[in-house]
Amino acid sequence: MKKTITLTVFVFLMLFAACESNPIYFRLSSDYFPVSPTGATWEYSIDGGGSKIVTVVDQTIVGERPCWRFQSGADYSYWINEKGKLEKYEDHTVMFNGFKVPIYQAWITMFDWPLVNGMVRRDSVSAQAVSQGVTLSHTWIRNQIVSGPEVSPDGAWSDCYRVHQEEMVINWIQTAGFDPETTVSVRNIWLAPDVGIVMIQSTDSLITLTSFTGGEE
Amino acid sequence: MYKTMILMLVISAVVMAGTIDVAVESASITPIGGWGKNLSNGLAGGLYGSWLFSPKFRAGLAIEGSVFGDGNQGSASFTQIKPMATVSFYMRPHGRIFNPGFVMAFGYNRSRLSSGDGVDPVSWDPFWRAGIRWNFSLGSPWRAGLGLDLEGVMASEKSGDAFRLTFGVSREIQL
Repeated sequence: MKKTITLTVFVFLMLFAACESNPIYFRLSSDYFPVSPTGATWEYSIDGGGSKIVTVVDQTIVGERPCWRFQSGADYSYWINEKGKLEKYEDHTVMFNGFKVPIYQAWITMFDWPLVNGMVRRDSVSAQAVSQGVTLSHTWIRNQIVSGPEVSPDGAWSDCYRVHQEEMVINWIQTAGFDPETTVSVRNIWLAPDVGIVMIQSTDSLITLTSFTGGEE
Repeated sequence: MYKTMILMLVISAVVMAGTIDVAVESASITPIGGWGKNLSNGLAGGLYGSWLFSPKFRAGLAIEGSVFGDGNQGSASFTQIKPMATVSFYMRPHGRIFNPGFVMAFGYNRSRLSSGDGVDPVSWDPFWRAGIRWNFSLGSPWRAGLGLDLEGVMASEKSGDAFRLTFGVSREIQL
């Protein structure tokens, strides 16, 4: 009987010993885009010189929803990370006659949690506004595909997800002398567990996280 | 498929003679430790076969599957498949109403996370379970058991721990 039990246990262990293991529960429990608390700071170096500091400033209300305000230089961005998704307040403007004309403001989901390899997301906006008697039209399309888990290109962060983003903006000032203006931007964003964005690679820049401070609850 | 066949062969080899107890269990699984924050509670179902070394002590093999949905009406889905070896001890094996028992299980767990069109790499990790049972008779030869378990998947960096409320129906078969 002893031999039978030993044999059973041995076969059982051999059967599964060769199977792949990865930290799937760690990834599930991690926050890939922390938006709080106040004081959390990310310092990035910009390839070719310069740096960028992003800080969680405070909680505020935007678009009738409580959210976290991020500051980077003179720019603010607004984020909500709850109910299984990360949302960003998109504030789109079109330049016309030297003025920034607001054309679209709303909360748009950026990621659904949990991130998974091969996940695809497409968001789009189509809006119009009239300024000085001229119609301005705006189309914004963002396609995203998630891959990973992988190590960040600088080797500093493991279990990252890479988000490949393709963003297209078509602005058209519908009056004589103007044609639709199309801008396409492509970037890869690496998100590390419980840290957030650790690297952004686009066609003309590379931004790398140099330090992260979690702030105080 | 070949793994299932080998498992069946192992079960056959172990149970060559004597009495076996065959059970079907269903369970509700509550993740603990944060890994289920974007998932719903899990539902599990399993098939258990145990060889009775004595009326009180039994050991065997089992396979269980569980599924967790998205906790926020999204498209995430998380599944576990757990082939395991089980050991159990019951204090009053012929008690009609109250037969308390203890169960332990060890094995491997296959975890798979998917969402939309995406699938993460599957992970195989060692797995354990410990729990208590309230076993009672449903009229010979059928018995039933209610139980509470604590289980853990020993994945790298963080374990996947959970509470498990279970109900099962079993019967003994003389070979």
